[in-house]
Order: sequence, then C-alpha cells, then structure tokens
Amino acid sequence: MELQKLVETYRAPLIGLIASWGCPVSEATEIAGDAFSEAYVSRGSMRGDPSDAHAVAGWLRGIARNLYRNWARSRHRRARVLSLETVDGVVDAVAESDEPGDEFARAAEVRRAIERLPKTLRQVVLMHYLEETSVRNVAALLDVPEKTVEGRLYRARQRLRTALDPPRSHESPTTASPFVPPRAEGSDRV
Amino acid sequence: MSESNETVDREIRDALRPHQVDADAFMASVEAKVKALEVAPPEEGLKRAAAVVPLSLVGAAGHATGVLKSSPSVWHKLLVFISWPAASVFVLLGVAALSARSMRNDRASAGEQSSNPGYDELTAWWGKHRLASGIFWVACLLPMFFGSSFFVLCLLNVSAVGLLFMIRSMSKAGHATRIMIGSYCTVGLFYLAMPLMFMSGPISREPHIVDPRWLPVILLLGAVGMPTLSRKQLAVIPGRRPRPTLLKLLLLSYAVFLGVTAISNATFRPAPILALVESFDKAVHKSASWQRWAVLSSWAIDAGYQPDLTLPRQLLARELENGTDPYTLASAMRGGLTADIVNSPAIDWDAEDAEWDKYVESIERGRAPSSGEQKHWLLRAAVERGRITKASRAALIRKTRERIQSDPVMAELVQLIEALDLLGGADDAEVRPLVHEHLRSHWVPEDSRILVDGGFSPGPYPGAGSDPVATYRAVALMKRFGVPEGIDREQVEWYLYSKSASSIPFASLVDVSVPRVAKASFAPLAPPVTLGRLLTLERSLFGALILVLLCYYATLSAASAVGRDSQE
Repeated sequence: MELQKLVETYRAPLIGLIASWGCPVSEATEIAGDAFSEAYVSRGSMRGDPSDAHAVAGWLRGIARNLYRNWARSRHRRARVLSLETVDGVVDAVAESDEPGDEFARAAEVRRAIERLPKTLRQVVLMHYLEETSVRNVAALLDVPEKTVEGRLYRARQRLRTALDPPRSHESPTTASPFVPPRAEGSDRV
Repeated sequence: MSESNETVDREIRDALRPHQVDADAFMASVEAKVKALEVAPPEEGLKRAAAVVPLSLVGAAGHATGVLKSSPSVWHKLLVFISWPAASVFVLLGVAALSARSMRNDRASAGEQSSNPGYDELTAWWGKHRLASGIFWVACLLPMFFGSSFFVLCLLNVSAVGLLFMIRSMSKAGHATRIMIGSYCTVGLFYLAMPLMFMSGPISREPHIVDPRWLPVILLLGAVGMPTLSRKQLAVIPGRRPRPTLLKLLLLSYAVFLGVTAISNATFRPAPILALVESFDKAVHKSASWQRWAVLSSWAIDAGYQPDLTLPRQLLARELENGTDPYTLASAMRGGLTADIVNSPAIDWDAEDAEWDKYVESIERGRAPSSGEQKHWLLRAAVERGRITKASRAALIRKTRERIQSDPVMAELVQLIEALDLLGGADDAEVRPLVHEHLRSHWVPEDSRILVDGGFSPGPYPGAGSDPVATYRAVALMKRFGVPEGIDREQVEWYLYSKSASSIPFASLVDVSVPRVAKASFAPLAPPVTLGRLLTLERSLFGALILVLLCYYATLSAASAVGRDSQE
C-alpha cells in the first residue's frame, strides 16, 4: 500500500464522505488525515487484498467512520447536521476567493441547497465535486456500483437545479468564474 | 450534458471550491502523522484503556486519538461494556452483604445491651409507611435528573421541618435517640450529596455566582460534622467506644477535594496562561494550535505581561522554513510576532508583494475584499512595510466597510474590523449597530438542551451550539462595542465559567485556556454581585445550608433521650 497513491486517490472523496456524516469540512479534513495515517500504519492488519480497490476503500472507510464517531462523541454533537460553514477556517476559505458580493451570495445559496439534499445525494455531491473525484473512486469508497453513484449524482443535480434560482440557472457556461479550477484530466464525466 | 446541467455543475464546483484542501499540505500532514505514529506506537494496554477511559486519564497526550480509540476490536469493547456493569453489581452485592452483616451485629448488640420497646415501635412505624416514604424520596430525587437541585432542596427542607416536629414528639415519648436521628440525617445528607457531586459541577445549566460544587461540599461537611454524641457522652454508654469512622474520613477528603477544585476554578491565575504562551514550541494541530496560541499571547500582551516569546519565535522560524502558511502567519502576527515575519529572510517577498499587488488591483477594480487569512497576513505585512498607497488604502477601507454590511460570520467580522483598524478606517459608531445585531444573531441562549449554553456560535446556524473561540471573539467585540440588549450576561458568564472549569484542582490549562482568558476578559462586563442576585442564583446553596442546620437541630432535639440511653 503506497501512502501517496492512497492519499491522492481517496483524499477528496473521503473528506466529502466524512463531511456528509455531519461534520464541518475542516474537521473532516483532520479526520481524513488521521484515517490515512492510521490506515497506513495499521496496514498489516488489513483483511483482504491490498491491491483490491474496494477492499482498501472499505478499510479506509471503516477507520474513518470510527474516527468520526470518536470525534462526534468527544464534541458531544447532538445535531449532526451538515454545516459547511461552521468552522472559522472554512469560512475564511469561502470568502477567500475574491468573489464579488453577488457571486459570494450565490455560492452560499448553492451550499445551502446542498445541505438540504437527502443524505445519500449530498454524500455523492460532496465526494464527487469537492475535487472532481472520479465516479469509480466514489463508488469504491461507498462500496456501491458506479451506476448507483451516477444515478445519485443525476438526481442531486436535478434537485439542485429545481432548488436554485431559475433565472441564474439559464446563464451561459461561458460566464463561469475565472477562479473555477479546470476539470481534472481523466476524470469521469457524469 | 445539457447546458442547464453544466450550469449546475459549475455552480456546485464554485460553491465547494473554497473547501478544497491544499494537496501538498495535506500530504505533508499525513506523512507527519504517520511518522509520529511509527516513532511512538501506543502501548497495547493504552489502546485497550483508551476504548473506555478518557484519554486524559490514561496519559495518552501526544498519541493520535483515532489510533488509540479505534484499535480495540469489537469483542474487546463488548467485554469492557459487559464488565463495567458486572463490576458495579459485584461492588453493590459486596456492600449489601457487608451492610447486612453490620446491621445484624448492631441489632444483636443492641438486644444484648438494652431492650428498647420504643425502637421496635419506631421500626413498626417505618414499616407501615414504607411505601409512602419511598414515593416521597423518589419524588425528591427525580427532579435532580432534570437539573433542578433547588426544587429537591425545597422539598427536603419542607420535609425536614416536618421531621423536626415528629422528632420532638418522638423524643418526648422516648422513641427517638440522638444517635438514631443523627444517623438518619447523616445518611440522608450523604445520599443527597452523592448525585449532586456529579450533577452540580460545571455541567449545571443554571447560572451560578459561586461554583455549584459547594452544594455537595456543604452537605458532605454537614454529614461529617453531625453532632450525634460527644466523646464524653459515648464513653458512658456501655459497649460504645468513640472511634473515627472511615466513612467520615472519606467524606471529609472528598469535600476538601471538591472545595479545592471549586476554589481553583474560581481563581484566575495568569501564570499558567503565560507559561502556555512562552512554552509554545510545537504546533501539534498546526494552524489550529497557532490560533489558540494567538488568543493567549495577544491577551497576555494586551494585559501588559510582556511574555518571553523566544520559543514561539523559534517555532515560527522552523515553520517558515517549510513555506508560508497564511493561517499560521496571521495567527503569529496577532500573537505579537509581526516583526519576525516582516523581517524574515525565509519569505520570498518578491512573490508575496506581487500577490498583494494583484489583490489590491482586484479590489480597486471593484472586487469584494477577501476576509480570508490568506490575505490578512499580507495586509498586516503591507501595512508594516509601508506598501499601501493612499489610493489603495481608500479602496480597501471602502470595500471592507461594504463587506461588513454583508452579514459576515463571527471570525470574518472580527477579521474585517482588524483590517479596518490596520488601515485606519475604523468607525466604531458606524459599525456598532451592525456588531450588536451580529452578536445577537450569534448568541445561543440557554435552553432545555443537555449541554450548557449561553455563549456564541461561529455562525448563525440553526442547531449550532456555543463555541469557546467564537465566544472569546464575541467578548472582545463586546468589550469594544458594548453588550447589546437581548444578551443575558449572566448566561454568558456562566457559559465561560463552565467551559473553563476543570474537574480536578490545578489541572492543566491546555484545553480550557481560551475560555479562561475569555472569562477574565468578560469580568468587567459581568453583572455585579448583589444580594438579590446572590439569593436568587444561589438559592440551592442556601437551601442546603438550611437543610444541614435543620438536621443538626433535629438531632440535638433528641438530647433528652440520650440522657436516658446514657443512664441505662
């Protein structure tokens, strides 16, 4: 099990997955870091074939889930709702993008719409869109078929399109923010 | 993919983009964690203990929490969960057996010494009213589990007055002895103190002026000092020898422990805080550790303590060798290391200046100013290095003021006000109404939830609880802009107290340092202690005191019966 490859493959979807369980993204990032380090150090006790992506992803997900539960217990969190803006650092990051006021507000509106999605749909949105993770890796981490992930993404987009302001949804893609990172090469189109 | 789908795609990406992590920094963080784990793997016993015991109790500081807690298998955890009740049952059975033996012995010796028909009558009376008295005691104890110790004490005081009349009449009839009444009162006070020991500490949701631990302390001391019989009186009773009881020594020890803990929690000592500031030589949680240090250091500097920042300075130099983390640098500047950063040769100032210029240009073109820490340290550095022109200063002030109007969250508001201060564009009178409205929307009033509240949340989110760092920031704002109407200062004060309290005296302040500093900062804003407030908020304490005095009076009321005992 190579650490760098493991991290590169599952970093974003794991952070998204943990965030979808109900923890702020900055905390999810910390938990994901702990999960990777623990998975790597304890790789000798992993059951299954280390070359099997699903086995590795399942192992990683289990560790992350335990860590998340510990976090939730230690923080005495009762309302485990997704809050993308709860932690100061994240808020700073949100505001960091030099967006004009209306774009900032629009981004906040989209985030609120994502928060209101059903858990399974929110999960795949966060896992896939955070860093354009491939559907294959998202599916491996969730231990579901790729078609299921594609279906959930499709439904999530439909719901978001309905929830968001209709006039804005007719904007041409050419007006995209210049700060939006280019789509990662080789990522799956959904 | 349709155009509308692409639009949604783009908007989702836009919305989530700020949450993307720095891949290199994340990788470096994971490698550091791996290295730490491989260098010092936790002991097997520690892993097992960490499954069920708080990490602070097993000395697990420095180990990754996750590795410790997630290592035990399901079977180990199950075994531990089963063993705890089993151990409890074992202890209870042991106590019950010992108690039964003790009672049998007492009864036997009492029968040998004197046959007391009054005792039999009394036993019969209690036997007859067992159900009623049981219901009464359950009714007394139940409210405690809903956090209302005052209601319990009211009931007990009423019952104690009733008991007093009963005792007097029984004493006159020769049914009650002082030993008997004193014993009942001692046990009663002890049983009342037991749940309060656990429930009236910092988790008490009702605001207090003094630490609620004094409540069980009073009851325990009352139990220990119960005036049953003097040594002289005991000496004349055949078979009775004065002896110090182990239980009383234990109760006294625990009362002292609780009292010292309460004093320790109520006393603000700057020395440990200064020690934390000066000994900061390792940022275990990276920028989060720096953020906490900045809170403490800036407080120490503002309070005029002039901390020795040699170790933090050295740590900063090491951090700068690995690049410029904006969150770390912003915190370091707030903590008093601005000059170190500005004069650091490790920073590529050409690149940073270029980035700052680009940022200022975007502001002048009409972009909203960044509220992120990434630009905040550059702003501080630019001010310090005199790289802000008159035009750019005006643009930055104008756009920052606009941003403040857009309902920012707590950290952002504080940072925007800091920016205005740095730029010389702060206008407190203009900002005050906004700050007050902001504070009101971020305040989390105490409600029926389990945890103590009354502090401030990082953002106005439904269901969000109070957070010590956000509350510290809110306190800083209130010190400057005043406490807005609608915020209960009693609740804020109690929230800070509960968050800064430790369960043991003179505990490490690492985890409670920020609320302690916030509590000290809030002290001038706290409501004054008046007799009315004292009587209202500490009614439970006075209730406990009255209860103890009633118990003493009830016991001493049975003095005539003692005379009879001693004569016999």
